[in-house]
Amino acid sequence: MQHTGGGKREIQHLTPGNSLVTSSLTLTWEEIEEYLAAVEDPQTLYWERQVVPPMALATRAIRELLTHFSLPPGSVHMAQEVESVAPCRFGTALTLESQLSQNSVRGALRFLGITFEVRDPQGMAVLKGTSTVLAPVSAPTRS
Amino acid sequence: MIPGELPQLQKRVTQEQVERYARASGDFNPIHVDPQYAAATTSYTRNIAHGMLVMAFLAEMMAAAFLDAWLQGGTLRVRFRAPVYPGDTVTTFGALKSQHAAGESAHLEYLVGCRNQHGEEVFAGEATVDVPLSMVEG
Repeated sequence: MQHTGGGKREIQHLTPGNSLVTSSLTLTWEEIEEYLAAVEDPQTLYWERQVVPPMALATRAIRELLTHFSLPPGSVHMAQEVESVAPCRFGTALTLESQLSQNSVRGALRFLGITFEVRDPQGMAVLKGTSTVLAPVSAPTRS
Repeated sequence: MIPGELPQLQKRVTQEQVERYARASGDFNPIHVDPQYAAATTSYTRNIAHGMLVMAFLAEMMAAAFLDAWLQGGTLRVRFRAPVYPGDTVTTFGALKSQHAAGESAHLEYLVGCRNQHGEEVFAGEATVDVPLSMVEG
């Protein structure tokens, strides 16, 4: 996962239960094409059904989170859960809600848990996810 | 019939792919795209692939096996146990762990993961999918 500075909130200073972000997002077919090309997934099902690949949506949700929050340098994505609750058609106006579910320190490591849910215009969940990130408590200096 | 073992996928991960994924995902963490940073400040000593990139291989395996059922309620839970480096070849696997009827559907649980070219399990987890009961009985 990306870490950046520059005006973003530092997620490691937040308390579990804190809402992280509520924002709108839409995946166009161009974005989906770019995603599927990047992961080299030849599956035609998504095009036939005009349905967003669940992992593309999860990736887009995490991208949105990382536009608002920074992670400590050296952070590593340790685990990921993705539930595709319902198919989501290309171009649907979606809402992302996310929450910090864990922020604990064990030794020199910080465990951060981030849950997120993507909803359709009717407010029904189409995707749920949980990301677990391991971050150094004392961040190394970037060379 | 439901598959006891899912068809494996074999993928060679390249630095070019990692960079393409960085552009698609917006994740330009230098641990993935900056060799000097990875060498100087991480224990990996070189770039590693995004976990979500490799996880996409598992999603591809599940989608290929279950098509629409995967899009409607499929779940994937994965722990990234070891880094995948550009140049590695990973092979996915999926083995049926349990199944039970749930109304008109059957709930299937698979142990899934990826191994690298050395046979090391780099990703491990579970995937679930609900399929029509007729698929199990057939």
